[in-house]
Amino acid sequence: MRHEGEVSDDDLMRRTAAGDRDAFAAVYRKHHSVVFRFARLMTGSNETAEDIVQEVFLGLMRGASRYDPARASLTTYLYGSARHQIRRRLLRDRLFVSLDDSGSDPCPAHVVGSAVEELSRERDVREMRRAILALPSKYREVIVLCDLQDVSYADAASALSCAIGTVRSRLHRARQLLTQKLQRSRACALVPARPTVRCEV
Amino acid sequence: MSARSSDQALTRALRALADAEARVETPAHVETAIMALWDARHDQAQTAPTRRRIVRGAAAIAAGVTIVGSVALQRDLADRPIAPPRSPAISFDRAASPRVAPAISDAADTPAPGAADRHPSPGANDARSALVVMGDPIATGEIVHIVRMRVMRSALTELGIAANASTEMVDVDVLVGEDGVARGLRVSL
Repeated sequence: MRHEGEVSDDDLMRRTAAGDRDAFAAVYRKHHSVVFRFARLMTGSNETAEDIVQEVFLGLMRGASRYDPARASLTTYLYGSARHQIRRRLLRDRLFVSLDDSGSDPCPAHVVGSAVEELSRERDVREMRRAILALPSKYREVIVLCDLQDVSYADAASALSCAIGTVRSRLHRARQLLTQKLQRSRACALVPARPTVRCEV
Repeated sequence: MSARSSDQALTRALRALADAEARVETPAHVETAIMALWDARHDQAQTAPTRRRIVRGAAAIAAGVTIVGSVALQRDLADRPIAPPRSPAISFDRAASPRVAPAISDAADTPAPGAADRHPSPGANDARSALVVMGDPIATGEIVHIVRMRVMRSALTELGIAANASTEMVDVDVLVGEDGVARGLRVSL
């Protein structure tokens, strides 16, 4: 018996198209995380990300026979499908839902260096998440794929249906925008709150 | 803050977010839901051919019954002698009509008191009227009911009757036999 990890995506997809339930389950277990994280970072909502994972894998289930490994890797195909679903969802909702920070950032004890460092790190993560969600969609996509999901420029270009040069230029612009946003938010945080003065009448 | 330190800060913050996200996993219920969808889809796919076969069989049987029925009907119509066509419209003087006069005089010419004032018979006040006879003749002593109806003048024209009414709607008397079948139609000319 072969281990799941040894089976190639092409083989799994062929078996999925033939109606092999185990193969489809293996495809899901192998790729669900990247789709979920991508959707979560793009929408800022766990619930929406769950819906998108369902939609993406439902689409894969329906169109397994249409998948062509010569055109793109399965990961790229899934990113493209997730992107399509996210765009549809964002167009429909027209707003972002803020992340529930209390439940979405599990932080195990062994990661914590010190309490101060950890608080600072959590604040940075929160700020960065807000800044990314505030980016226009085309810049958010490249930041999430290339900087957060470690997808290569070529794969990102394939998933986003654009040229590699476009990915590079969007990434450059996205980083500039992020830097500006982070500097602005830090500057706001440094301004002391105005003291409350009680007026005597 | 210099551009270099800004880039470094950004890279650090992105790395921190990537590390935080790397620990996030899809909830287990999503997999359960997706595999349930898979099962439902494939159960459906397995039952679909059986259902399709049943529908095809039923359609074939229905088509066969229709063909046999229509052939039998054609044969039956071919065997039946064709009756000579009746005259579509008979113009007659009410008093001189020997065949329908008794029946009409029983039911139509003795209306309930006051009924004629409300709904005058199409032929009651006119000198001439037309009677279209249809079906079997009225037997002697057969009780005939008269049903007064208002029909489109064009419908009468199709029967070959040119009614003299000025309006589109024309009042007609339908003679209905004991068996409920219409035996004739009386309309004023």
